Amino acid sequence: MTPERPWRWLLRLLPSDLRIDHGAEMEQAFHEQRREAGARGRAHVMRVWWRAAADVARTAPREHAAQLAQDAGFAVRMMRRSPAFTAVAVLTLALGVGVNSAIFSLVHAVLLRPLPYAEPGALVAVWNRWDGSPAAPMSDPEFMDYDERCRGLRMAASAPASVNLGAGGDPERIPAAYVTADLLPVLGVAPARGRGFLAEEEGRAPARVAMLTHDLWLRAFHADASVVGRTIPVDGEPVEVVGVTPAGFLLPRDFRGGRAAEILLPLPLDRAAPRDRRGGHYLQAVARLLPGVSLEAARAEMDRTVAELVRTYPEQHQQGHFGVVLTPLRTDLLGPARPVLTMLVGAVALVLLLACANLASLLLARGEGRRRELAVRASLGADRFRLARQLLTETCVLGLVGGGAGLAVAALGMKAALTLDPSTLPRAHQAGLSPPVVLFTLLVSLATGVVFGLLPAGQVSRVALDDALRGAGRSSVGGRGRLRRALVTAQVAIAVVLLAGAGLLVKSFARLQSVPAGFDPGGVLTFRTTAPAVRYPGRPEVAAFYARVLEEVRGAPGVRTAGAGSGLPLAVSSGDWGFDVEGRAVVRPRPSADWFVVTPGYFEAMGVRLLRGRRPAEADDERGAPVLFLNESAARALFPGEDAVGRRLRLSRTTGPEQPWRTIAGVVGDVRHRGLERPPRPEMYIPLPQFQHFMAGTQVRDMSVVVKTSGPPLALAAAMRAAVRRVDPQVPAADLRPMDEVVGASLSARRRDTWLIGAFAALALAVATVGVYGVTAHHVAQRRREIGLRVALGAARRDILQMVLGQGMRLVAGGMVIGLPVTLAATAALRSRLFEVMPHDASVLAAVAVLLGAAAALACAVPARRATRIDAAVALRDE
Amino acid sequence: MKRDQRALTPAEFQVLLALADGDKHGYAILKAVARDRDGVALGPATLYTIIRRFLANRFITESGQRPDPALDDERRRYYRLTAAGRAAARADADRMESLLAAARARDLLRRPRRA
Repeated sequence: MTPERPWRWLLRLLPSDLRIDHGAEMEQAFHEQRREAGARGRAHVMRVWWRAAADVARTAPREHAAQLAQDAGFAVRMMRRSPAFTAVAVLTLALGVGVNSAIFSLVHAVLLRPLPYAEPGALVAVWNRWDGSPAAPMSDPEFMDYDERCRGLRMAASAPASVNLGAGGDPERIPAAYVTADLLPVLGVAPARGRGFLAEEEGRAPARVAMLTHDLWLRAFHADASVVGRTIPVDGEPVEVVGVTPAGFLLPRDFRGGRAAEILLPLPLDRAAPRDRRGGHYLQAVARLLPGVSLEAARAEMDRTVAELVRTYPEQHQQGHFGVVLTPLRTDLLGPARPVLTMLVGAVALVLLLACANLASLLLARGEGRRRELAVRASLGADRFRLARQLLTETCVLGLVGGGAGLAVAALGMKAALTLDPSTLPRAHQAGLSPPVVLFTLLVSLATGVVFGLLPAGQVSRVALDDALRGAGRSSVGGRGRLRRALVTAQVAIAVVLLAGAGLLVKSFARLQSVPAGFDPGGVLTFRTTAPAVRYPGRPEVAAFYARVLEEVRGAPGVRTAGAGSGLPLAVSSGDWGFDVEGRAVVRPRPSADWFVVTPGYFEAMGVRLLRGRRPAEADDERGAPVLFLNESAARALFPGEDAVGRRLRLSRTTGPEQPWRTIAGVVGDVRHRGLERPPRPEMYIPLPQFQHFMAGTQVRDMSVVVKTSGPPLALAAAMRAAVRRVDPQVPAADLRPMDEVVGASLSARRRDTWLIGAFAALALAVATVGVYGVTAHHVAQRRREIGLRVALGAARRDILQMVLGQGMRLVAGGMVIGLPVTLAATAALRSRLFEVMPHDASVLAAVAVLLGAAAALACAVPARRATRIDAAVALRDE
Repeated sequence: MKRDQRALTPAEFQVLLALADGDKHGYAILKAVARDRDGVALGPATLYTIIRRFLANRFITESGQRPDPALDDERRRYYRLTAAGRAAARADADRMESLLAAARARDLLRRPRRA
């Protein structure tokens, strides 16, 4: 009857059991109501329709809710009745969901939250690029040219620095940033207190005004509002505080790792200076697209600008396909964090999948125990859908309880991840159990409940009906047995993937730690200090300052030797600097090497090997003949098959004085400055008293003092602080730490990844092993009679053992066969995080197979032993 | 079950009333309720959730007796009030009676209505 079809459709909103019991009657009743109303006219029919629909709309939610409450109450009673099952399930879920919540909280904090700027979509990062340098900083003239010529962009820039804050006995070295006056307006950030910088404050060195970041304001000034307008000593100069940034503000460069800047100073940028000296690339630029300007249009305008500049300054720009790239700021800042987070998300998703498979097989096993109960209910008229719904409610309640416990796991996991690596993921320290994380946990818990409940619910309810129809307590278990074995196979496969990933990371980590770094961190203490321009204006004063500091340091008891260098392996690296080689034709671009300034004693204290010639000596001072030292890579690249010692180089200049020809006095071993995984680069070392910067009026002031001690390095910390204080009480010894710690910090991201993936893999191995045990034990119990029969017919213990073990090992083998190709696909994505290990590394894969095989054999051994003890007579009598 | 002890809803009471003067099928109950009640009409979905509940707590049973098959629709089922259902209806009526008496004593009702 067509007029009733919409009605039938409406009735589908009601719970299934009501529909099944009374659906036909409801149709009938409605049919009669409608027929009677039809006799009285259209309006009456419409009213009947309206009332009936309203009735269903009122009834359906109420009935569903009542059913849900009833099912949930039943679920809670069921959970109480089997505490062991509940405990295992909740624990598995807590781990499975918890690790997902922890990683999601990181993803949310790092990737998903908006950047702390107004309309961040219109912000772009601006970088120079040329062959080999896809994103490089720019020089003052370049920045000003781009800014002035690109009308669609409003540009701002910042440069990293560090300054001494405070005066008197206890100054502090803090990270700082020089910024253009319009950096905050470009980012769309208003100061929380006071004002930002004015255009006329730019370009004055030393700075006369400063802005504090919110964190520094809290830490050093105890949130004192009156600090705005006050004068504070910065690098020994009086500087007026004009404003404070809002809480949570980060400069774009603070997203790129390291300690966030705590004080902002106006950039000494001279907009009227001549633009023909274009070296000195140190500015990090950001720009806002003006309203109506698309990224494509801005890029086109920038390309035209670059073409003009290349024509104007061919000597400076016509090399290496020079260009300028505009990248959406979000991509630029957060893109680098994406691969590691993707890897972690993939790993925890696998852990959750594994937990689901484990719980599903656990439920299947329990479902067999509950078959009678379900059969009774089915025979009492509960339909299949109703039973499935009740089972799903049970698993969802379990999921929610497990997810709740998972929040605790997440809180711990997050803390662990941040302890392992506090700094390499931007904004990670802001991760927490925020509302989105809790919501995510809730959804994942429910979804997990549905996923691991679905298979068993479908199976059990079907079987229950079969049983009810057959009126028998026993039926073929083939279907469920197969399903359980498939689930265990899946668990093994997932464990293979995670174990292989962890194995590759562990092997990478081990390889990395055994890489020759080129220095010996043992027993070495380092700290960073500076010679402020107020009291040490020129190179002679700076050199004298460090000579005195080193003299004091070497005089301390327990110090074997000490020196200073502008860099610090694995912590502070430098840029490259071009030069000409005496007796060779001038080539463009010039050969170049990373440059460092050193004092005598630096190589000895750091344990850098001397390969040829000599090390820097006290005689290499202003009056001595100009010398420099190369590392092995530079010597080999410049003078293949020749002796570098005795040859002469002349460094290029930008705005600084003409450089002298320098004689190569020695060749030292390669040092991995930029990371243990990065191959060494050509490097050169220049004695501090002879150093002349390529920029006019610029000095190297910051140096790392390196101290080789005869005892534990940190025991000398107080003595080192005192030594610096004796030379200048206004200069702090910052970043005081053993070199071992510097090496450790450079590996922290890798250590974190290795530990996390390793922990996930261990979890997977444990769960999969329990899965194998469970299904094998079940298998033995099911085949008791058959085994008894075999024993009665004369089967030896060995045969029984072999049969059971073989059955278990087949599961493992199946899991490995499935897991292996998945592993190869998954670990290929890991490639960028591996070091000198191929994703298909045979030894790792073999180790995974052996480990899993051994664990599974152990898991099978217990039920197998039980099988050999089956007494034929007893087993057969039971039936 | 707790559910049995709570007061009946007006719709539930109406269903019991409708069955008090004889076995009825669902549509007949709907019509009887519509006649007795002034106000919101009882719809089929509400009716059958009540019927299911009453069947579960034995206030009503399905009646085996059917009228002449020629007059009947095979989809119809007839329901009969049980002793428990009658007792529940009576208890509810008593409860309302005493409420009304209390209202009358406080002059909230002018005079007893005629039956």
